Parts: sequence; structure tokens; C-alpha cells
Amino acid sequence: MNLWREEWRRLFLKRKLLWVLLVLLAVELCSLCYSLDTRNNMDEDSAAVYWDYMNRYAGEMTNEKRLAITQDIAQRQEWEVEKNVLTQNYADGEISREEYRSEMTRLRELTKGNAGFQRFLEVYQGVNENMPILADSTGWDVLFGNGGIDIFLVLGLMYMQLALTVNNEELGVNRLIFSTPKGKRPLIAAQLTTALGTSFLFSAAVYGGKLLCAVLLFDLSGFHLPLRAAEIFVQTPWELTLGEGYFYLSLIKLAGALVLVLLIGLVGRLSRSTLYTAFISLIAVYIPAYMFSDWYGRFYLPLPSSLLSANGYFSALDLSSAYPGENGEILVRSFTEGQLWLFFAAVLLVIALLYLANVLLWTRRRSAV
Amino acid sequence: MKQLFAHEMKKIFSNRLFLFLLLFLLFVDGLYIYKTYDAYRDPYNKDASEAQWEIYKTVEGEITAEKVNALTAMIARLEADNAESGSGLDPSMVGDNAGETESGYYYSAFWDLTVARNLFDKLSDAYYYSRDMEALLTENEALLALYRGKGNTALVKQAELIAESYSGRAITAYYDTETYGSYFAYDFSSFLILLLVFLLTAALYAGETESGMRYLLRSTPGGRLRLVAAKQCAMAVSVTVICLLFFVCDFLMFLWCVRLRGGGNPLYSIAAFSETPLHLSIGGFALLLAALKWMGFLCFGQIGCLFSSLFDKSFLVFTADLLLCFALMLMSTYSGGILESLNLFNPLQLLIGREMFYTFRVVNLFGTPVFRYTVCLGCCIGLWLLLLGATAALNNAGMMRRRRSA
Repeated sequence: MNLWREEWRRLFLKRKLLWVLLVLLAVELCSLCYSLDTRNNMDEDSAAVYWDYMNRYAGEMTNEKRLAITQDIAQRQEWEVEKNVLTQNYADGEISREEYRSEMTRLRELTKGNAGFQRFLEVYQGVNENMPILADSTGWDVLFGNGGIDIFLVLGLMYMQLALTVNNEELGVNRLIFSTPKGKRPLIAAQLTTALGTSFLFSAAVYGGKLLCAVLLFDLSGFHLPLRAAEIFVQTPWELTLGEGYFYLSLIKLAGALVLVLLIGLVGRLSRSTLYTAFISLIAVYIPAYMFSDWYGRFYLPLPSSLLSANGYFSALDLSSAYPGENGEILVRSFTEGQLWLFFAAVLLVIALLYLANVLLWTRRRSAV
Repeated sequence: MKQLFAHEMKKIFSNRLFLFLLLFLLFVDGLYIYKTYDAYRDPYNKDASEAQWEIYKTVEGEITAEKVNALTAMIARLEADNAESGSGLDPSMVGDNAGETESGYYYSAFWDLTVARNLFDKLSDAYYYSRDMEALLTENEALLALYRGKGNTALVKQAELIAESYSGRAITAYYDTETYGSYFAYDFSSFLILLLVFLLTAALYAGETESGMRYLLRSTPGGRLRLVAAKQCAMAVSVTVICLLFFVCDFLMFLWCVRLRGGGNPLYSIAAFSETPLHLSIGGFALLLAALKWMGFLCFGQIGCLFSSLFDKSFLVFTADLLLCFALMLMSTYSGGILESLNLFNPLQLLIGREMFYTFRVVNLFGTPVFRYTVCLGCCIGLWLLLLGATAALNNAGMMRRRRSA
């Protein structure tokens, strides 16, 4: 236990890892807050109109609501026609300038924030038998992201593992420590377990922190809504709620973080250089994600790049999952529930094997310099 | 000095892991181009691509009345065929009717008609380009007279520059130059080169601090300015070698995967560059773009050297380089206000340099309009020299870095 306590102390106090991770977490959350704040990308009037309609009609879609919305659409179209007629009458000299101005001002006041109304109609058109609830899910769309990998999370995990294991190897300190009675296996086990524990906590802090931020600062709600309410999951066959979907996706990403940390350990042991380990880790995460972004097969492999992006497991509507059907409709590739549980078990097995590989490789006798 | 330079070069290129990563990333780059741009792997695209090529071959080259008439006649024939047989693509018609189409490759007259019409539109655009430029110049003449009348010397100079840049333009030969557009817009290799430059420069100075050799080297006769000069030269040569390797790889892969046609045509024959003020051929612009990118990578290399002189750990240098690059990327996506001026010093602008040449963009320098790309290049060269000076000063300074206790 002393070894474990010592490793934690070394990491968080001496290497100031705690500050580094807090800064990275803060940057990650600020980035999310900025995205949430600008998510609807509308001016003030349009945003007011959008939220007004949302508050009036949100919830289970009923025939009365449909009728009211249809009437609203007709009314707005009528006002647009009136504007055109007014302009034509003024051009033809049938009305005076003052009449035109006063009437046009009235009509503009009635039709202001039209962008917000159009945005509301887009959300309304997404309501169907599979998704009978009208709700604003733009906050969830930002939270789920577009399948990208959080760079600050990757940097934090990398820094942590490099500070814990690879740095000692690079400086040659390991040779000294491994010659002590408690060197080698107990030490490596303590280091790796510390690394895994810290990765788990940091990743949980990132994904939990994002959700907390969204709920507290941006009134994110609708945890009970179907996953299909999120634009990116509109075609998903999974019968999950938004809250459940976020939880399971975070779990998969957590597993991805553990796989990444163990792979960094392996690469670090082979290269014995923090710089090259960092470089190889980055290209190992980002290049497959970039090069094979349209290949769904990558989600069947327990790679950090596919686990950390994760959306494809629930059939996100993106390059890799979506494909055209015979009649031109858009279909999505999907994991079944059984397949996903099997895959997750395989990932856990991979984590265990990587852990073992790390212990064996780090404690292997080194060749003389 | 020569020995120091040779030693620094040996340090970089004798590192087997570095060489392996360089070759690996070259392979990844080539693979990415093949995967993204090779039109022949997908059978559907292959047939479509070959059909387009067969029809395109009839009009490629100098625009003549005979070619235009032949294309017009082909369109008339295809319209008649299409009216008889009905429109729409029908894969089941492959084999039976493929030989009867104009291109000899595709399913029905409808596809050939679409291709021929698109070609005719592009041919018309090329043929009438000079007329469009004449109209622009006429409008400009009117504005020039107005500005002269108002006594606005800055705008007068700008209008004169427009007249000089856009006069005497014509596209006399038609080639499918859009493949060059894809080549110029290809940025993946820039991302890989940037990573390699950061890797290369991270350990240049920080590596010696980490190993404790720094203090020893600084105490030797050649340990200060001469060593810095040798390292800087080695960095510049290494960056040049890496750039050359990737540029050649990109060009050869594009040549293999897509048909790069019309390298001798003027740059403005590419649709995205129709308003460019440059009077260069496409091939000439490719060389210019490569030179700009090389300058951009040198700037980033110099930034890496400066960070390497500041930080003790090479990993921290690498991380700082990445974060700065990320910040510069964010900066380059915003425009307007002070960011417009700051972006002139952003070396990332040189890496995506093609965007500066799309349209006529000038910066008003003391009443004289200067092309934005010229100002940007000048600012980045100035930035590089400043960073070089700062790196040399840091490493030559008499202050010893305080040792950290173990």
C-alpha cells in the first residue's frame, strides 16, 4: 500500500499533475460552454421567437398542437404575402409613402425573428411515429458532439502516463528502483494501477463535468426523451433515452481512455522517450480517426480512436454509419444489443491483456547499454 | 562550424525512430491520397470516370470552332437519343447498350448527355472569360474616373492595380484543371509535416538541457553562437528535406491517382481562381505554393526552436507547439477587426496560402495598395527573423538557467 500511496503522491504533488489536469478540464468545459452558448446561432429576436414556440408546443405531439402549428404557419405565410402585396401597391403608386411605411413596420414587427420560427419548424418536422415528442435537443447535440476526440482529454491522459512511467525510464531511474527489494513487479503494478485509476477519474470528471455544466449553466433537460431526439441519432434503432445514451457513450469512452493509457505505457517502454511516446500516441489516436472516418469497420476494433469517438456504436448519422438504401433512403449501420455487450466484454479483456503485457514488458530484463 | 552542422544533421537523421516515423508518415500520406482521390477503385466511379474522359478528350486543348461544333452536334444527337430511349440511369442496361453510347462506357444516353452539357458549360466559361474580364475592366475604368474626380488617391491606385492585374486575359485552351484545384486544396500532408517539424525541433535545445549537456557545451569555445548557428542551419535543412519529400510524394500520388491536366494553362482557368490577380501558370503557382508552405514550416520550426530554448522538457515543448498551433488555427478562422491584422503574422496563413490568391485582396500600406499575400509573406519572414534572433539571444545569454533540485 505504501507503494501505491507514494505513486499517487509523486504524481499529484511532485509532478503537479493535479494542476495540469484541472487546467485541461477547465479548458474542456470552457470549450463546451462556448459551443452551448452559440449552438443555435441566431440573433436575439429569432432566439426569443424560437423559445416562445418551444415553450408553447414542447412535449408529446397532439392533434390540437398540430392544428395550432399549422395555423401559425398559415398566418406567417399570410403576413409574407401581405408584405409582397404592399410593396407592389407602393410601387404601382396605389398607396402613399406614409401608409407603406406604417403598414410595413407593423408587418415587420409581426414577422421578426423568422429565422427562429424556421428553426422551430425544422425541429417540428423531425417529429414522427418513432419520435412523437417535440423538444429542443440542441444542447444534447452539442454534448454528444460529432464523433470527434477530445484533444484535451488525450493530452491529460498522455501527460499523466508519461509522468508516471516513461519519464523514469528515460532518466534511467528505473534501473536503480528495480534493483531494490520492492522494485519491478510490485512497483510496476502500483504505477499502472495508479495510471488506470487516474485515467478513470479524469475521464469521469471530463464527461461528468460536461453534463453538469450543461445542466447547471444552460438548463439542459429532457433526460427522459428518446435518444432519437438528438439530431445525430435520429436514425438509431436503439430504444434508449438521452440520459442513458450519454451514460453508455461515456462508459465506452472511459474504456477507450484506459486502452489509450495502457498503449502509451507499452510504446513508452519500447521507445524510452517521452517525446517520441507522445508523438506516436497522438498519431495513433488521430490518424486512424481522420483516415478512416468513413469506414464503419473501425468500430469493431478496440482502438482508442474508435472508442474515444464512440457515437458510431449507437448508429450516429455520420460518414461511417450512414449509407444509401436501394430506394435512395438513408440507412445506418448498427450494433445490436448483444453485439455491443460482447464487444464491451472483449474491450475489458483487451484492457486486462494490455495490463499484463505492460507488466511483463516493463519488468523484462534489459539489454546492456 | 561545418563539423558542428554535420554533427547536428547526423543527430537528426541517424535517429532510426525518427527516420521510421518519417517514412511511415510518407506512406500514410500516399495512402490517404490513394484512398481519397483514386477514381478507379470503385467500379461505379470507374465507368463514370472513363465515360467523362472519352468525351472530354474530344475537346481538350486549344479551343477551336471545330471542337465547339462537334460538341454541339454531339449534344443534339444525345438529346434526340435521350428523348427516344427515356432518361435515367439503369444499371441493368450495362453490357447490352454500353457500346452504343457516345462514350462507349456508360449505361444510357442520359449520362453522356449530362457529361457533354457540363463540358459545354465549362468550355463556354473558358471561351467567354476574356469577355467577362473586359466587362470588369470597363466597370473599373468608370470607378477609376470617379475616384480621380473625388481625389481619393488610395482608391485610384487600387483601381489602377486592378486594371494592371486583369488586363489582357484570355483562356485559349481548355483542360480539366479542377484536379489541380483538388491538389492545391490538399492539406493532410501539411498536418503531417507540421507534426514532424514539432518533433524535430522539440529536442533540439531541450534535449541537451534534459541530458545535462547544455552547461558543458556552453562552456566550450564553439558552444554558444556557433552551436546555435549550426543547430538553426540543421533545422532549416531538415525542414527543407522533409518538405521536399512530402511535396514530391503528393505530386506523384496525385499524378497517378487523378489526371492532372493543363499545368501550362493560366491559373485563372481553375474555377476557384477565376478572380486571382496572379499572372502565373498552374505549374508556376504550384511551385509558389510549395515555397510559401516551406516558409510557413520554417516559421513553425523557429517557434519550436524558441520553445525548446525556453522549456526544460522536450515533451513540454511538443505540447506547447501543439497548443500554439491550435490557437493559431482558431485565430485564422476568425476575421475582421484586429484579428485581420494579426492574421498577417500567422504562419498558418502560408500553409493554407491558396486562399490568399482566390480574389483581389489588398492591404493599404501608407496609401499604397499592396497584395495581402505579399504583406503576409513579408510579416512571416519578419516573424521568422525575430524568432531566430530571440532564440540566438536566449542561448547566447550569460545567465545560467537555475538548476532544479532533483
